[in-house]
Amino acid sequence: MKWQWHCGEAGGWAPRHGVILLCAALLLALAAPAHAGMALNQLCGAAGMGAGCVKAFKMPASPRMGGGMSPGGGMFGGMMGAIVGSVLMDALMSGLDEAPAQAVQQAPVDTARVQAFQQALQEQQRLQLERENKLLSQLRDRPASQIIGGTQDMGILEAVRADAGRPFDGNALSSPDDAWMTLYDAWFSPPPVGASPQAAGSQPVPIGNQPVSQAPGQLQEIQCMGQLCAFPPGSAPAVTIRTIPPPSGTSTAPAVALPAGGSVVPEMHEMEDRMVWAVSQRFGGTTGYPTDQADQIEIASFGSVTWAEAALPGMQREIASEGRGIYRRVMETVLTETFDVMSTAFAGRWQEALEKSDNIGESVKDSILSEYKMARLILKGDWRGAGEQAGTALNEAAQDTAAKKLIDDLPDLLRGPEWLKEGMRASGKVADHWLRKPYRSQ
Amino acid sequence: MPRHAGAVALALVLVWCAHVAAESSPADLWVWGNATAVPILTPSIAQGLGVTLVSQFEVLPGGRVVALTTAGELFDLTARKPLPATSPLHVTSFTSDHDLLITIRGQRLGWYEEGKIVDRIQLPQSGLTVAAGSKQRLYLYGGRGNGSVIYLLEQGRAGLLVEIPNGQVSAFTAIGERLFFAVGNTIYTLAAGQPPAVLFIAAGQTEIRSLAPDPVSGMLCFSAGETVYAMRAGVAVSILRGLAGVLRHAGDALYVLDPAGGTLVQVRGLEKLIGGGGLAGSAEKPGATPFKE
Repeated sequence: MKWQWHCGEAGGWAPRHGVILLCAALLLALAAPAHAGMALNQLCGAAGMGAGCVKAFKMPASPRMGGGMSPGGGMFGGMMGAIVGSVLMDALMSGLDEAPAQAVQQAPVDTARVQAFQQALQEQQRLQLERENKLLSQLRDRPASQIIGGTQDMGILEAVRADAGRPFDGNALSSPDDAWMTLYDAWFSPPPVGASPQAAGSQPVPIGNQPVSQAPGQLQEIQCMGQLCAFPPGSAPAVTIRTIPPPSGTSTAPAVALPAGGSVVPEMHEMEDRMVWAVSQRFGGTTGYPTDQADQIEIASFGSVTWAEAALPGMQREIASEGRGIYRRVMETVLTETFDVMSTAFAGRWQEALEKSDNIGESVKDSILSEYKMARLILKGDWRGAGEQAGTALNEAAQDTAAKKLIDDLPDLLRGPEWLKEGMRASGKVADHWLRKPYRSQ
Repeated sequence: MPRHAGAVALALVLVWCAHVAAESSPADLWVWGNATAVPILTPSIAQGLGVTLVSQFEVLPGGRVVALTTAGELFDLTARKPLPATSPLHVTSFTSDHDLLITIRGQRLGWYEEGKIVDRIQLPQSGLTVAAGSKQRLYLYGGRGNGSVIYLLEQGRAGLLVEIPNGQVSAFTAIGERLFFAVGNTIYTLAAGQPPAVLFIAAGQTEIRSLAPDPVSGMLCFSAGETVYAMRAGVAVSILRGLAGVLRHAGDALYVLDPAGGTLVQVRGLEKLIGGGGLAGSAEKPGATPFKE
């Protein structure tokens, strides 16, 4: 179809951007006059947030990073909507500079409209950035006790602590080393000796008054004779720790008396309702691999989605995670088509399996064409429908990324001949460690 | 054609999935619902490899997992073959410090290089376990009489850091200037210039097997019995059950190795335990986690 030629040759995310951009340009050229407010509302509509959702960007009702899928609310009821809207916006923004030139070839362009639309997009992007920064600030800069206004947004540990009626005294931290330094201040550092221990171990409880010294001056030099060195002769330890007697083995632990006075009440929680079967058990259990084809596809789908989640980077992993249901359905469609290939390959007929796999593309053509559908909907002015198609395309993009990643990992997964490389020989390369430095003879 | 390549990849992955699926796990394995668990080693794979592991492993830069076998070999679980060895290595403990695999065999501290162990320091006793800290510090810990000792080695100097007259150190880890170790079911912490302190008591457990700090979230994970817990600010919650595991944290993942069962699981997403972001709450919405049972 000629229209398909114009609106997207599939094959990678960048061309999809091109599809969106080209079609957006066509729309701009053909549609009625639009201004910034209308454009914003259209974008909001495309993101499934309704007309007027601009307010949500200015003043989020919740500090959540994303709402995920809401029951019955479609896939755009939260983070998916934000992501889709954002990606649509990015796609439009990144190519609008080129769009007029492309559009000129097909229809007259109203430069003023393009500029208005571009301004609207810039404003929308600014608001989104502002919102993200605000959320990040809330998550990272404030003590958690100030973030959690309602239990629905709590992490498990905060919720447990809130349930116990005590303030949470830590921060949601993100950078590895600095985080730990802050944590020392937050709860790893014991209070001065002599102070009353805090209940429930919210801070370490000192069990002595002898500060520990790890200063190099406290250590003795290792002496070497020949290539073998001798550990320094025995000396007094920097600190002697008299451990506390173990509490009784019951789950309801009593307060434990400490040598330096005071006591600590152990606090353990079992999350029965938050556990799920892990992958390995879900795969086979003790009864072996299921024989029913539907069960096998279900299991394979579960496994590949889980692997995709692990393999996908950043935002796409979020998509795979948040849109798991959709992602899974798409995967199952593909898996059903590929089941014959799988069976053939599993039977050891690799060449035959590969040949069969060549036909899969046609079988899943419908899902491949989602970007075409999206472009058509944009042309029709159906922004919501286009947004939904964009979501499908995003999931396909996630699949593509996952597939590429998995192709890279195939030698690992299948333990093929590629594994027969030197592997850890690299670990024997010269490392700049004091232990390897030339010994000092006595 | 990319799509065809993807389909081929998927098909091949399915074969792999089916292969893994055919391997049954003798024990029930449970993970926290918002986390993702990926098995890296399963009992049947371990059996197929003919490898029996002990409770020591390390995750090297790049994610390569190396474990110690009962035969004293260093086994690359990622490549699923032992590290090259010109002769039996007879390693009794090892750790990694950047690119260097530091070993103990018998009563000597050394390192692995080009298929062999280079012994360097004669240790004051046998039965020590080595652990790496920051700034190339090495810690050696083990039992002595009815108690335990922890030695510190740093830049060519060494000394006895801690003596514990009445308990065996069952787990140890160091991050920055701070040490964590467990005696029985109690976790202690030490830092320069501060008195030792009790950090946590695992009620209902008799011994803490392993400790692994998560530097990103600020949690300290520990394992006891067949459960792995994440602990912060005096509260611990169970995050994985069904593995008598040894823990390591690397990158954004927690690795749990059950050496006796031949199982290694990589767990991601535990950071969702912390903070009030939507990551923690979204997956709890109905329908958002279709695999929750």
